[in-house]
Amino acid sequence: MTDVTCRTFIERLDDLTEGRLSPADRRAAEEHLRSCPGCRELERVAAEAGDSVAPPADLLGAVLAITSGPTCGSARARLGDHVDHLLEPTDEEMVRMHLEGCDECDRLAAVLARLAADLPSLAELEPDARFVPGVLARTSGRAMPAAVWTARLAAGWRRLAHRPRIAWEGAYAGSILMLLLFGAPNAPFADVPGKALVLVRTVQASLPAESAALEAPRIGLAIRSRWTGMKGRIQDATHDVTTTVKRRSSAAWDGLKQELGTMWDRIASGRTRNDSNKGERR
Amino acid sequence: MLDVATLLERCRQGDDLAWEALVRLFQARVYAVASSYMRNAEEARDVAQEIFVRVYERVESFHEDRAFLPWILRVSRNVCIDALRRQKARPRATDVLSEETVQVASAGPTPEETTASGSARDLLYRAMDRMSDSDREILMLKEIQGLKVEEIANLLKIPIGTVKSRCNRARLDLAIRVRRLDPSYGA
Repeated sequence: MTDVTCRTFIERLDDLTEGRLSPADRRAAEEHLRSCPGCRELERVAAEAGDSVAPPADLLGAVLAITSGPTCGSARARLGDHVDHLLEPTDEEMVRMHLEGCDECDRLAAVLARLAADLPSLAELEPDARFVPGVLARTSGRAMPAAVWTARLAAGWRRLAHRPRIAWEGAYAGSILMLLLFGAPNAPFADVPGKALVLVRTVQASLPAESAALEAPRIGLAIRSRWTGMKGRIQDATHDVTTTVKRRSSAAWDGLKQELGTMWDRIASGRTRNDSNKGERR
Repeated sequence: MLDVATLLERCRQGDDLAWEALVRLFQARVYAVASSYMRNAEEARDVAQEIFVRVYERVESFHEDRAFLPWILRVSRNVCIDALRRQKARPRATDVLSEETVQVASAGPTPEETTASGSARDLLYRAMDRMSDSDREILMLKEIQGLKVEEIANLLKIPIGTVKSRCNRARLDLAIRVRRLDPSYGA
C-alpha cells in the first residue's frame, strides 16, 4: 500500500460511508481496507461520528459563560426589530435560534408583539364634555394674531397718511436721517461724499486729454440731437396746453358774460319795478 | 371625512365652525399627549386647552407643505414642557404620581378591576407610569402617536440612530414592566 493509495482512500471516505462510490471504486476501497489497518481504524471512527449524539443541556451555557458571556442582551436589543420584521435574514435567524432556546426572551418577544398591537390604542383619550366648550371660550373673541397685527399696521399707516402734515413730517424725518447718516462728524457715511468727490477727480485726472478732446464733439452732437427731439415735443405739448386753456377760458368767459348779463338784467328790472312802485305810491 | 388642510384654511379665514371642528378632530390626541406628560387628569385637561389656544395663535405660521400631526404634537410637547417647568417652580400637591392619578387620567376601573378584566389599556398606563420620562416620551411619540423616526429626531433634535435605539430600549423596558404587572399578558 502506498501513500497515494491511502490518500485516495481518505479522499473517498465520505463517499464510501454514504454509499456514493461506483461499484468498481467501492471494491477497490474495500480491498484497500482489508490490507491497511490505519485506514480501517479511520473508517471505524468516521462511522461512529456520524451517529447523532445529543449534547448536554448545559453545554451551550457553559461555553458561553467561558467565552462571550450570556447573549440575552444582544438578542433583546434586536427583539423590537424582530417583532417589526425589520431584521436582516441572518439576524432574524440568529434571534429565532436564541428564542427557541431561551424561554424568558421568547416570552418578552410575545409581550412586545402584543404591545405593538395595543399601544396605538392609547393614541387618543377622550376628554370630558366640558373640554371643547372650554377651548372655544378661551379662543372666541381672539382674532388670529398675525391678521390682527397686519390690520393694525395698515390702519395705523392709513391714519398717518391721511394727515395733511405727513409730507412735512416725512421731509423732516428724511432730513434728520440724512443728517444722521452723512452730516454728523461720526456718522457712518460721513466721509462718503468726500470719497466720491476724490474718486471723480481721480477718474477725471486719469483720463487722457486727447481722448476727452475726441469725445467732446460726439457728446455735443448727441446732446444737440436729443435737445432737438425734446424741443419738438415740448412745443407740441405747449401748443396743446395753450389751445385747451384758450378753449376752456373762452367757454368760461362766455358763461361768465351770460351770468353777468342775466344778473344785470335782474338788477335793472328790479330798479324799474321800484321806480314804478314809488310813482304809484305818489 | 374632514380634510385638515381645508379646515386650517377656513380657520385662517376666521371661520369659527372650522376651528371647533379642528378641536373636535384632535382633542382626543392632544388630551392623550397631555395626559402622557402631565399624568394627572385635571392638569392634562388644562394643558390640553392651553395647547389648543397655542395652536389657535400659531395656526397662521403653519405651512401647508408640512404634516399637521407632527406640528400639533410639537406644539403639544412644548406646552407640556412649559407646564412641567412651571409646576417644578411652583410644586403642587398633585405632583406626586400615584395610582390614583393614573386612574383619574384613564377614567377607567381600579387597577385590580383592570387586571381582573384584562383591560390592556389601563395595564399599559400603569406600566408606563413607572417608566422614565424620556422613555415614556419616545414611546408615546413613536409607538403610540405613530410618528416616523425622522420626525421624532427632528422634534427632539437627536440623531435618528439614537431615536431607534432609545425606542427599542423603551419598548423592552415597557415589556418587562408589563410582564411584572401581569405575567399572562402576551401569553
